[in-house]
Amino acid sequence: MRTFTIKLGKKRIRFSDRMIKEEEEKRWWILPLIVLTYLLPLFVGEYTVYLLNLVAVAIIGAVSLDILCGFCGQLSLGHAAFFAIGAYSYGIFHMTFHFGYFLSFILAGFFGALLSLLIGIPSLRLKGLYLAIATMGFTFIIEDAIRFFKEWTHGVEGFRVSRIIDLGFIKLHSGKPEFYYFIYTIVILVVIFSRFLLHSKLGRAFTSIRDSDVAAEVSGVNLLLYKVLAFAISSFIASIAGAFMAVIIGTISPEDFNIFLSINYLVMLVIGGMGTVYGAVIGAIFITFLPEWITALRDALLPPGTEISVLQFLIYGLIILIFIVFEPNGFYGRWLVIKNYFKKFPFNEKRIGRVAWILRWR
Amino acid sequence: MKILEVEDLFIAFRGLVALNGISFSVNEGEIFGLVGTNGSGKSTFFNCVNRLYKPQRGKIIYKEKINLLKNPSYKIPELGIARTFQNLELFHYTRVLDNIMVGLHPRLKIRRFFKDFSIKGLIKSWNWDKDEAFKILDFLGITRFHARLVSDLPYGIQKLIELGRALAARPKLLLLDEPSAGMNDQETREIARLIKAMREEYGITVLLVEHDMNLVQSICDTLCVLDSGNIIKIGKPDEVTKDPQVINIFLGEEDNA
Repeated sequence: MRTFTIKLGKKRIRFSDRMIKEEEEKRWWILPLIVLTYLLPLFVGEYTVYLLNLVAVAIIGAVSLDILCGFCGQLSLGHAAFFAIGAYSYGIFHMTFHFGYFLSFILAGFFGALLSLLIGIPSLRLKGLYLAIATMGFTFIIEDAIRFFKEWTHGVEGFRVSRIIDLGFIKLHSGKPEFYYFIYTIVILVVIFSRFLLHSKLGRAFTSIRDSDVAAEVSGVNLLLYKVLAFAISSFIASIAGAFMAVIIGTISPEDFNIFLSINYLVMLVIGGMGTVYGAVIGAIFITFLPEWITALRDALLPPGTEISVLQFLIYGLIILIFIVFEPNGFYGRWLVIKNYFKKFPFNEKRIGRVAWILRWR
Repeated sequence: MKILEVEDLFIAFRGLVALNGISFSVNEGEIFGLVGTNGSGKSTFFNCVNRLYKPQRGKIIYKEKINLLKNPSYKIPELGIARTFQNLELFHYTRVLDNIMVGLHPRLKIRRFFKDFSIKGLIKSWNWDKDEAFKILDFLGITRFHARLVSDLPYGIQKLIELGRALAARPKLLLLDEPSAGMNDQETREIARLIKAMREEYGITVLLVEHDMNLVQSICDTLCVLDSGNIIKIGKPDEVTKDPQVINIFLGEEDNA
């Protein structure tokens, strides 16, 4: 270690390389954010709270996909399938077998994790786009399976799931603001869990698989075990998100879990910033609120009652294009660039530049 | 004690024989150099030790009792064998510290987590693995780069980081695949110094593939010359470099000269 000393009056201060840290991560800003999250429903209307509940589901789902795609680099288009598995298994466990709420949620998660092995084990050989195609096939299979097992899932008629969660001391209706506190507690737990995951042995093994699987194997990472674990953890959380989705929507049908849902979640990651937990959160919030903003824009600009489905897809596509061309690392990547710019503000050598495209699937 | 014994190792890719039944042994604590022309099977041998390739015949005995070929590749670092690559295989979009910490993977056990867990460590985000990674960085003298992205750093530093990742596993046997490739004289001398220091500080046996004959002669205890999958000569560096057959391989036939 290189050391050097500085004399300040009588004091001698000994510096070492280790003290010259470029940045120690600041983590405590999350606390006011958590408080703000819990205070938010006091200031907004009931409809916005309902939307925020949907956002919560999107956050849980996006973070779960981030564990698989962003951390571990396994491109998946099959997340809708895990959502469907979670939603339907929650419905069947709870409505058909009359299991408790908590048990049904956990069982739904484990059921999703179990079925993810079907994709997780072949993922050792399937890489990049091929894995994406395989997982897409998994989505179609699950969608058809839901239609096939009509007596369990009620097929296309739709499966009615109770919108009430009974916690014992309080009954939460998913349309009411009380539900908000419950689901956002889960969201915060999931976000904190994935932050810890990213900086643990497990997360480092995941990111090493993403960046170079040969080097990971040589460093002692068991590729099969960790890829399967990534799939299992991701689909566990995704299934729980699916179960919450079932509770919030009330009636689920196979059309809710088509391929566009998977793509939607990938878009959230790209727009938010893949491989970072907060990026996934930002992307989930942005994409879920986007249709609302587009409607507001329509109301402001166009005469009332104009058909907007075309406009909606146009803006949606445009935003994705803008992000892929100008900021592939998403909101979070741009935020890092801006933060680094202002850190040494008057003495910057470079102007704010584009971040290099981070190749995550090779 | 012999740390690595190779017996009749044979590997062929379709028709091409890469290693033609080679046998040699490496003593504990020595720096063993493997030299040879391109395509003589040096890197193939490393990949066989790491179980990235599957030899058709032969044995690699580690520490006189473990047959490496019976172990899966992810078990090899746990046994105490780490390696670097000729072309860098780093995790380019993570920080230097994280790269080193991936090397700690085989040493991080759940037991260790519970033993070292403390609320203070949680709050200060300081724990055993970070401390250990900094020790490695201090040893290599690249602590000042610890928070940088690997892809931002020059090639010489990246080589050192890869060396650090291998060292983090606390190996007994370190396989270095051309540590001085693409580095200038000063960096080469630095690498040579580090390799010697490594042996003294951590007690590592080093198996080295290298083209730079000056470096090899100055640090190796034993040299092994390979040519198209066969061993030409094993011995002390001075003897080996004077051998007429070795001179032929490296400098060409005398008739053509």
